[in-house]
Amino acid sequence: MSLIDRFRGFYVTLGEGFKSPTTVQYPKEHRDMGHRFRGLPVLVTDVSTGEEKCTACGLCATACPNNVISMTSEPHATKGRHPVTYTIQAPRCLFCGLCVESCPVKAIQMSHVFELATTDRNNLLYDKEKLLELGRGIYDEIEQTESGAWLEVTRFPEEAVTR
Amino acid sequence: MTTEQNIDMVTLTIDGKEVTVPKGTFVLHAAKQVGVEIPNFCQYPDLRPFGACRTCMVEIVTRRSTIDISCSAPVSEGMQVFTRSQKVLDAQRFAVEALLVDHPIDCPICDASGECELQNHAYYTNVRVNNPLARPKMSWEYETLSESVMIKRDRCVLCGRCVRVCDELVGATALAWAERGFQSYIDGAFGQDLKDSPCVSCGLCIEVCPVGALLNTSYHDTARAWFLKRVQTICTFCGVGCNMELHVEEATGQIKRIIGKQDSGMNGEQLCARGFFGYEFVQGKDRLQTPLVRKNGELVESTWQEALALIAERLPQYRGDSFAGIAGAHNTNEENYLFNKFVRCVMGSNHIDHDAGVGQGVRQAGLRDVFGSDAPTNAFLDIFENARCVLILGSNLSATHPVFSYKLQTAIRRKGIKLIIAAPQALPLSQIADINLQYRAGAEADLLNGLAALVAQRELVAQEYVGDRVDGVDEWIQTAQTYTPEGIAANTGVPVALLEQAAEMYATGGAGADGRLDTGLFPPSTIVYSAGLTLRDGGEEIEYGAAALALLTGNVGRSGAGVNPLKVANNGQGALDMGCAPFLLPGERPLEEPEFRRSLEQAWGLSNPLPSRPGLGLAAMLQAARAGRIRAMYIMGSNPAQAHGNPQVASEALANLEFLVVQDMFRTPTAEYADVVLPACSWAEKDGTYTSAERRIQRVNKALTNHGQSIPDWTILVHVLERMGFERLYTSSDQILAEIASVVPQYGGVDRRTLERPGTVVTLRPGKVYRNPSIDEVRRVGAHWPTTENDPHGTPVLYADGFPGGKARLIPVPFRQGQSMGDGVYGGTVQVSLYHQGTGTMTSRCPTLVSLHENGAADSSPERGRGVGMLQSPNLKQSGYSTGQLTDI
Repeated sequence: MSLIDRFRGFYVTLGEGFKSPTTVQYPKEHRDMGHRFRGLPVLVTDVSTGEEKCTACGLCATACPNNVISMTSEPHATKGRHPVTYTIQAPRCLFCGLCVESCPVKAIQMSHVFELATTDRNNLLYDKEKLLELGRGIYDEIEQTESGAWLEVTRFPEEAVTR
Repeated sequence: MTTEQNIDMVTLTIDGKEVTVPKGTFVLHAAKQVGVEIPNFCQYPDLRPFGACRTCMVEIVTRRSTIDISCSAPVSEGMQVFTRSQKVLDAQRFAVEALLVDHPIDCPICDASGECELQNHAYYTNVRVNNPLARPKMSWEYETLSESVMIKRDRCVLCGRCVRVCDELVGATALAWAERGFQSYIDGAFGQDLKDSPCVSCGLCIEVCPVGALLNTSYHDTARAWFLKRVQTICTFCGVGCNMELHVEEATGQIKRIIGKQDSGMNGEQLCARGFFGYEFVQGKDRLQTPLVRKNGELVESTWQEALALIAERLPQYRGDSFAGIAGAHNTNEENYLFNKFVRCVMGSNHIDHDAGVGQGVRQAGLRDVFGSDAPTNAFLDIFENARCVLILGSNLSATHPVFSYKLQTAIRRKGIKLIIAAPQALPLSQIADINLQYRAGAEADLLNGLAALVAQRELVAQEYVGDRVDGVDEWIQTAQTYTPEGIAANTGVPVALLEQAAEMYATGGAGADGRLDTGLFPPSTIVYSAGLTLRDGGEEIEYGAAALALLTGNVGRSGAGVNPLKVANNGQGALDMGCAPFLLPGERPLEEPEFRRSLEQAWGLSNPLPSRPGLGLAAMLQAARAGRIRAMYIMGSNPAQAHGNPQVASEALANLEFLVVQDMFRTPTAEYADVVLPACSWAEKDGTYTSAERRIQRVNKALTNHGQSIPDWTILVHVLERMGFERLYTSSDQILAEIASVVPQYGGVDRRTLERPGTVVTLRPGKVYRNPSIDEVRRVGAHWPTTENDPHGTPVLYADGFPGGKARLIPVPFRQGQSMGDGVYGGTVQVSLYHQGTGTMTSRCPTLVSLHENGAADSSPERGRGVGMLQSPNLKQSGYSTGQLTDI
């Protein structure tokens, strides 16, 4: 081991020392999640009406392998049907995304929310209001890809901010 | 009930499988027999072939035109059929694609999603996203046809099932197609609102709709089909005893809807408005949650411990004649049996009765004097299949026993059964009747005895039959001499010619004087009426007349014949069989006979003898309570305060009691007088058996968890007995049923297993008018008592091998000139309504039924030309009574 190698090392340290750090000071800071990150599934609000998009068709509840989702429904003037209650039991959720895949109206999305730890297990029972609150700011947008095709993509709140 | 003999059989091959079916069967039905399912929309069991949807195409290679619709192609010898060849698949695919041109494909918000036949067929025929026939879709909005039916017309595939069931199976003809071609849609007949049409809101159109076009307003958008648990059970309203399926959402534990089911009870897929929409009371907000105990003059919520302790402390003081019990005609057999045992053995009283209708107790005199039992003699299916003439007497069966009347009208129209309707005014069935005898109100006895006398005078008596089976003929004939055609006409107000015509039609089974069969008898005729008709004073004379008419013409103990008083409540027959009558022991055995008492004492292992003096009936009981002779009462699932003809008497009687225990689902007017009110389970929350008006014992299954702290009536009784110092005898209702099977002779061999089997195969005979000549095989559950260990299926026709007492005994009713009671005989009137049952304890808590009733849907009011009113009870204006009693309106 020669002295030059030592200085090579210090050089790297010195070089990195002036760059912005990669480490995120969690929990003071949050890192941006990848677009496809699968956090807690949440309900999406329809921007045009201000109501949830969900039509309570029950397909997510059917697709869910752990029976995490349950809902009750009632008739609705414009959407046809409408969830009265909508519950996700987060402790049982395995974040597989089948509910999102099954949804015919894109009313449920995998959010970037992952901090679910709590001191009371009742807090892990997410009702409709909580889910809509968590899903606020998620919306769909049509985007042209590099190949020229139009694609519907989901935007998350933090993506909207950075843009 | 019958198996048609001498049918030509045809053998054909379907997809390489050989099958032999009766000549005239359609390819589709034949394929079903070898397990080949062919997609279709418009074919529906028990309907005539129609051929509207063109989806059920098959390839018949032995014919020149190879592609044909299998629902209307009759089989022929040596036929070769392929159901999955490329040609067939292409044709079926085209048909489904054509149906999807205007279909909105809004499955996520469609009620039918998950049980939609269009979804299934599109999947089966490989129809995917790109429909080559696509064009801009025609769209329709939701439309409300009535309080109970909604329509979304763009989902409709125009198969016409709804229109056809309404016409063929219900007889209401309330729906029709409108417009032609692409514009064609389903609508109320003549474009009128369903509320103003003859629609009886039976819900069959909603049930048969293969897609989500016709919708149930109370089910709409509240559940998904695949989350529903299906529990088979029996209806809790009228005596017909329809089998139904409760659809319970497991997550919420609520009944979401009710449907009828093919291959189950006598009703098949049919229900009436009460059955289809009458479940909301189970989830009613005012259901009793906890026991109530009277403290300082107020009923306050309490605990089971306190309530039971109070009962156990107070009740023993009233042992003997100062105690009376009222059983419930809507309770199960097990509960009524246990109640009977409780009143007779523990309380040592014979004052036990139940509300047989209109707040009246069981009548002692009547059919029982003639035959030995007052049970209806023939099963419903037997009547529909084999009767050649039906006489309906004084009852609006379309409101009291709706499904029976729907099935009957189908049988009448398909098989050409003759129908005689005797009623003081027009009934819904009058339009298809051959003879309408419009008699003066109250003249039923004169009319029936008069008809019997006319039969005797016209030499239409079945001499040999009468000689073998009937006693007291000479005496009867002598009395009958006093009846002259003119006298009868004067008393009843029916013209002589019509009377004679009716007498001949009934006596000859509609076949005419030279229509004798090889047996020497005429084709069978039957008499049907609601048992509520005979509950008034002098009601036994009506039954004597009916029995005489049937016996003289040889119409008892035969298939398709008989005298059928249909009990009003769903378990009125069972309550009677379980001995809930002051003068009868379980099994309809008279209390006065010491041997019956002894056998029961032995079976129950009693050390003290049973009280031998017959007790008081319901009306007398209340009188005695008013006079202070009866000091304590126990009422299970009954509501005398509201049901009694004179509410003043009833309330005074109940208020005068020292101690009153009431078991009910709700805080009824009767419960207001109680010292202890115990919350009972509804029929959907308990196991048990009901005996329908045709003596069919059927099983009720628990579908829901108990509501609040309520428990089933029999469990309450077990707890009360336990508190009173008896050991706990029963832990399940099956144990009580086993005891019933050993104690009640008619119920021998009945157990849970026999009642739960898939059902006996019944072969329906096609009628001449029925274009479909195929022999239909259906399954029916339950057993007709009397059953035995060896034959748990039971006996659909009573007295085929003779009467219990050897011979039937004719009882003469002397002719009384001008004695007919005429107008006002039934007292103040309340409309009998299809949408209400009894005092309305259950039905008035079902919003859909209440709304149908109040908005004057068909069969609810006389203005609609369908309802027929009935017996007195001034405080029943809203809740109506469905006993089939008639009145002048």
